[in-house]
Amino acid sequence: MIDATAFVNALTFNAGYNTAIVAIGAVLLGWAGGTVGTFLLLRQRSLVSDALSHATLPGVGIAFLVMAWFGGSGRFLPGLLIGAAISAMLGLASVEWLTRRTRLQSDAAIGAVLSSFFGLGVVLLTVIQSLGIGRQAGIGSFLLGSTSGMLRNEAITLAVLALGVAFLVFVLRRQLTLVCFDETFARTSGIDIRRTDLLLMLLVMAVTVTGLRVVGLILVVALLIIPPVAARFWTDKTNTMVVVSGFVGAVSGFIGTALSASVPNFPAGPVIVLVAACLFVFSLLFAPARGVFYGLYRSRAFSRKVHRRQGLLAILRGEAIYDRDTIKVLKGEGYINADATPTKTGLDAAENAAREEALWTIYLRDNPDAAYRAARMRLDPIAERLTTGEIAELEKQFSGPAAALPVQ
Amino acid sequence: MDGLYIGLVLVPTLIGVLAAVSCALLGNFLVLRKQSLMGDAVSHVVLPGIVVAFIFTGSMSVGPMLLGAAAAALLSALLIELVRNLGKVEPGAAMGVVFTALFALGVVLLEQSDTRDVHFDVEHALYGNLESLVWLAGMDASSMFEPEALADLPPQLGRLALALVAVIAFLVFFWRQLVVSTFDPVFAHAAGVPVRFVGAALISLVAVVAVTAFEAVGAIITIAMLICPAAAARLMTNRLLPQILWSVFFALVSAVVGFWAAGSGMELIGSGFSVSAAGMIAAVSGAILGLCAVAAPQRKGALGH
Amino acid sequence: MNVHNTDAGAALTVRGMSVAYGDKPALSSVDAIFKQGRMSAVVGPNGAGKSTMLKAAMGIIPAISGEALFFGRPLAEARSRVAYVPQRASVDWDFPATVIDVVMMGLYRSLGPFRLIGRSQREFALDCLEDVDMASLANRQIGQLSGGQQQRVFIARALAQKADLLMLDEPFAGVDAATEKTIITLLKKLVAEGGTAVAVHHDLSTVTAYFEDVLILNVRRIANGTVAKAFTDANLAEAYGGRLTQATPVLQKTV
Ligand SMILES: Nc1ncnc2c1ncn2[C@@H]1O[C@H](COP(=O)(O)OP(=O)(O)OP(=O)(O)O)[C@@H](O)[C@H]1O
Ligand SMILES: [Mg+2]
Repeated sequence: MIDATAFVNALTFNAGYNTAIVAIGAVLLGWAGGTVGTFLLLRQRSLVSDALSHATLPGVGIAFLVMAWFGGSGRFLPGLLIGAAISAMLGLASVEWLTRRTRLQSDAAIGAVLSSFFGLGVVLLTVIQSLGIGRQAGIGSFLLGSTSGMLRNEAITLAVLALGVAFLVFVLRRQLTLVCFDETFARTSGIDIRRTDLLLMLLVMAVTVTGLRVVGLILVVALLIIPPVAARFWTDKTNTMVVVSGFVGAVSGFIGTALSASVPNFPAGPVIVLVAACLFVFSLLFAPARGVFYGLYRSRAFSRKVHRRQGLLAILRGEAIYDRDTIKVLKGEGYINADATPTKTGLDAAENAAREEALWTIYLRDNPDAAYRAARMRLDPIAERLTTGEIAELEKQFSGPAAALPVQ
Repeated sequence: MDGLYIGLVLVPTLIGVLAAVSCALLGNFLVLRKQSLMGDAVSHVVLPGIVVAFIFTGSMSVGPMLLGAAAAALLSALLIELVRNLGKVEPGAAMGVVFTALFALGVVLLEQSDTRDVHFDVEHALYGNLESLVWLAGMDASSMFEPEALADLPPQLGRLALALVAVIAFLVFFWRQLVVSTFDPVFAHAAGVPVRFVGAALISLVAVVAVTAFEAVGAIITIAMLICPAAAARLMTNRLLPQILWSVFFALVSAVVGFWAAGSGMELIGSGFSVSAAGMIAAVSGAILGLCAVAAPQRKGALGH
Repeated sequence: MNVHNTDAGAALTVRGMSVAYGDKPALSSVDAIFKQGRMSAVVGPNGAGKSTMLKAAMGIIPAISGEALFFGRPLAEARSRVAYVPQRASVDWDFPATVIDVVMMGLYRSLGPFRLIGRSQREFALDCLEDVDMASLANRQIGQLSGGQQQRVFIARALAQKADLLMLDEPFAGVDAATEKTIITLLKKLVAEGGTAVAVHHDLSTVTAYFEDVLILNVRRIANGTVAKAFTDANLAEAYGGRLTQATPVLQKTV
């Protein structure tokens, strides 16, 4: 199905002038979306963008009608985009107003604005349809986006817009980072939070409107949401996240447009979103900082530690072990036999665990100040946590056999 | 009563009302649980469900389509939970990721398959076609009692009525669990309320209603009706039961006024065409919410914002 | 599972309980016994895992190992005998419910999902509100209360559960002195009638006056027993670290 040479051509910008321009636009857009989206995610307002993008539809419809009224073609892209931007702003203002002025929470406000603006947009589309002017060709593509039938000057308009958005994002990213990362600090250092928030929303709107024609209003939010969520798995630092997210967005735009240009019936918008979604799934599963597998590995390792220690201490005290997980861990590590009697290594390890436990106990008695911290390190070998000098001190007090010492 | 009126106006209006009321009833709990956008997510995901069902069965018959859509809706709810819990992603963002990805998948599959030959497109999925659900056999009031004529009623009417009954039954039987687990999940859990089950049942029912309604009236009405009437009702009162009654009333008004405005209303202002009824109903519900936000007695809420 | 050697007369037995958030331990192998018919305090510094212990015992968060037995049985068999008041009820205060509605939620177990609420239930709920001095506000929407009043409503809801064991996470947080007195008198009365109360408590100066038993906790168990035996300077110092040494006047009063 996939034509390899066409794909390589598209990847290397050799698939025709329009495709190259669109690809550049999509990369810039992806980068801008990922970057702006990071701030949106950090301010916990990701889905505001959904309301915003759906709210563009009535604007597009009205712009079309107005332009047709004045005898234009109605399909004039910049005109449609200006209409989209204006009604998106109205939608955004409605969301803000509903959340600030009424008891409604943001989710309800977003959903209400999204659906009623979209409904209005649909009404206007049907008006345009029944007026029989200029088909919906120009407008239908705003729903799902399309790059295939794009005119050259449309492609250039979009690329220029994307460049402009990317530039704005680049200039404002420091200020946004500051506000998202530490609101109080930002306030005390003289940054106007409300103004920055407004700025953020303007950037979101710019990304949305620019992406409208390529990705479509239903999916354009994906450009703002998926890359930052994916990036979140790789890092805990805002700055790194901004970079990773922008990268994920740009890569999605690039591969997505290339795929779309080389495979028949592969609409660019949805494909870009799917590429981003694949990157998200990969990050969710495999990222080292917060990925699922690594997190699973860490919490399992910790849980083993707990069971091992508790099991060994029970062996030493000659108590029966009932907890099934504990038995599994001890068996797996060869500390007990199938009949639950301790092995030789088990007894040695138990002796050692008791010694550790006893040393920790002495340490805590002597250093109540450290108790709080130390309580959390208790499962680690004492040698990893204390200096040899400290341990030697403890060993001095530790004279009798391990079992005789107070074990908690 | 004028036969044409019954067949061409009353029946589609009734279908709109049934869809709107079912959604509004469930919407109350979605809004209170801050899960309003679940309806949005679930409705978007209906598209890939239908496309996959088509690819598997090769037919556009209703059964597989509804099944596919319901499966996709449930799958998306599950995926959202999964992304939220596994990835510790905030709920809004998790929703955004899942529904855009699935919707994109649906569009790509649609483009790749040849569903277009059997006339199915995204636009249809979004706005439905309420105006076409007419009852041509219903020539006069007496046909309401004639079996053959009744058999010709749009099947969507029966399905939506069934969905509404299911919703009401769910609310009646699970009322206490629903209220307790919505208000204070931790307490509910400690008191032995099956919190997860109730939540899952609510979302499943939203999915079922979304799918049934979508088939009749398109996704947009579903989303609007799941949120707007309940949100507006929230601004009217501080008690739950009155809130639910208000939401039903608002849903009713939106459906009736919306349908009227899209057809006869347009004629009234002298334009020679009618516009999308689904879109109009959604817009009217938004307007009602707008009015309530300006003037409803409890718009500020207890916390004063 | 292991119902062996349960201490007779224990309302809540926690055994070998370890809980972690990710790989950060919050509780490590905690053993504790809360005896029936007594008032027990759980004390420890912020982040010691007090709330975590109650939540894990109630099955709200999973434990890595260990178990909690209520009256010698696992929670599932004793649920209706236990009521739990969380530290900060994480509820939507704007929820369309009145004070009495919230208290009647406490009747959930006795009513089951289907029985309707009758006059007697309503009166019982009002009695519970009366116990915490809130009957006059029964028909207020819950968001229209002050923080301390909200706390009292949740205690009334726990009372409505008619449980034999009340687990309260910081019941006195943000509550005025008079209310604190009301609540403690109420708890003492319940305990005198054979009930059991376990409360997370921060005010070390009132531990001796209010409670009979104490668990001192800081990720692990420091001490558990009667206030006279367990609530010692040494144990407190171990729990709170050196931070408490400046606060010796408080301690001298208590020991
Ligand atoms: N949901 C959570 N995720 C991650 N860590 C948590 C979570 N809840 C608690 N913790 C951590 O676990 C430890 C114990 O928390 P816990 O709430 O049990 O403390 P506490 O003793 O009740 O403190 P306080 O007196 O402040 O109420 C703390 O270090 C806390 O940071
Ligand atoms: Mg706590």
